[in-house]
Amino acid sequence: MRIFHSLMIISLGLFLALGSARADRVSMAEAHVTDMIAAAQVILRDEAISAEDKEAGIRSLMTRYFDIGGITRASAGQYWRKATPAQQERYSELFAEVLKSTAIGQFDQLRTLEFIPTRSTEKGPKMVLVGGRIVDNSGVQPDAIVNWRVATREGKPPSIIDIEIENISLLITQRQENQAIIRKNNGAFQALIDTLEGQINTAD
Amino acid sequence: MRRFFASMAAILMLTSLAACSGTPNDLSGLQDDPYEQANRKIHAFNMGADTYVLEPVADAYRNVLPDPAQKAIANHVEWTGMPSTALNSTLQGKWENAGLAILNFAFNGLTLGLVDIMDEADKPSYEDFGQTLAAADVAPGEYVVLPLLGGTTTRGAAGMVVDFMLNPLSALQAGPAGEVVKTARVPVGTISLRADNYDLINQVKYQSPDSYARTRSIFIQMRSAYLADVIVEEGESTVSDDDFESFFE
Repeated sequence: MRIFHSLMIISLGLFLALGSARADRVSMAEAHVTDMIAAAQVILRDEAISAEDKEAGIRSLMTRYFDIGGITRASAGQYWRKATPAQQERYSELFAEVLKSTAIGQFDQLRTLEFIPTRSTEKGPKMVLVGGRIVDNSGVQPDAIVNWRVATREGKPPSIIDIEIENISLLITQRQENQAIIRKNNGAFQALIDTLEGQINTAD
Repeated sequence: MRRFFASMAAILMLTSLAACSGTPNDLSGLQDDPYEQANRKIHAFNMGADTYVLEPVADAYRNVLPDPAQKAIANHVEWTGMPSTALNSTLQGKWENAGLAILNFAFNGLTLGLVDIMDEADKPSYEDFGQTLAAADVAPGEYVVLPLLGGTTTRGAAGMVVDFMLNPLSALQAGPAGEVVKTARVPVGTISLRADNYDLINQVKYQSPDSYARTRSIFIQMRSAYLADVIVEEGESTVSDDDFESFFE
């Protein structure tokens, strides 16, 4: 009987510990997202900071809060493994540039918009979906539902791996577009590199 | 009567094509896109029509028409879709949603749908005949791009015909004025939709290295969310966790 009691206590302890670990992961992921947005807003709303410094600040936040390497690999899908090391290196440089340039444009909207986390859910043992609404306090734009997918690896700081706006995943969209470009060019990874180079040159 | 039979024949043909492949709610197979070459040509035509007609008109619409007038037109367009939502919700057994659609249509009908007098919480979720076909286990078929209408599935194309016939204005018999309203509703609805999504569509059109692939991807994701009824939930996603496996290898 004493053994039964001991087992009950151990089970209860484990259950509570697991529950608390889960809550920690969710709150850690939420804090990761809200901290980044707060930091971005400080940079974007400070009139004393020059445009170049703001851009540098946002780039630095991206490196700190996002898993840029992982997003780069995932954005090429199954073609990543088929690329040569030189192609992988070049693609990583170009994609990071495109990603950060796009993000700078999008983040700029955070000057006037607020993110309000409302509901976060665990996605298996390694990911948390931090859900919330982007609200335009001026009432010009309707609210938008945004989910930040955060990787919560054991012993590592959390990192953002995807953003879903109104159920459109930016990573999946990018991956499917990249795969279409490679497929259209008979599986040549180089075609994707050439396209990104063209895109960056046009933007310049 | 002849038009009705022609429409029914078209629907039967399209649904039988749709039934050929895939499972009802899984749209991932649409990426295979066997009609890609033809679809790309129609997409290029649609982009041209957008550049020369729709985009400038939508731009003027946004700049000239006051916000309340734009809102009224958007409300009206949404209101005309309520009978379709009510019927399709009923066919799918979504009784509460059907009831909300009927209430919305009745109350907002007092202003022809120009003013939305219902609470935000009482808004039904949009349901179309394509979703009804999915609920009836009709497979999505293939991805097709329709001239001027854009991307959909063969199942969705069949649904569009039925939804068009269910629009209350289709049956309107009100002399020349009624004919003008009937003729104008599709272009006005299209302009309103283009104006509401002006920046997003321009972003895809001008900044994407492959606007066809990006449009197809966005369609598949949006439609998957509609089919799964998770479009308004925070912390919910239709994206498979398996898509992120590479981050943890």
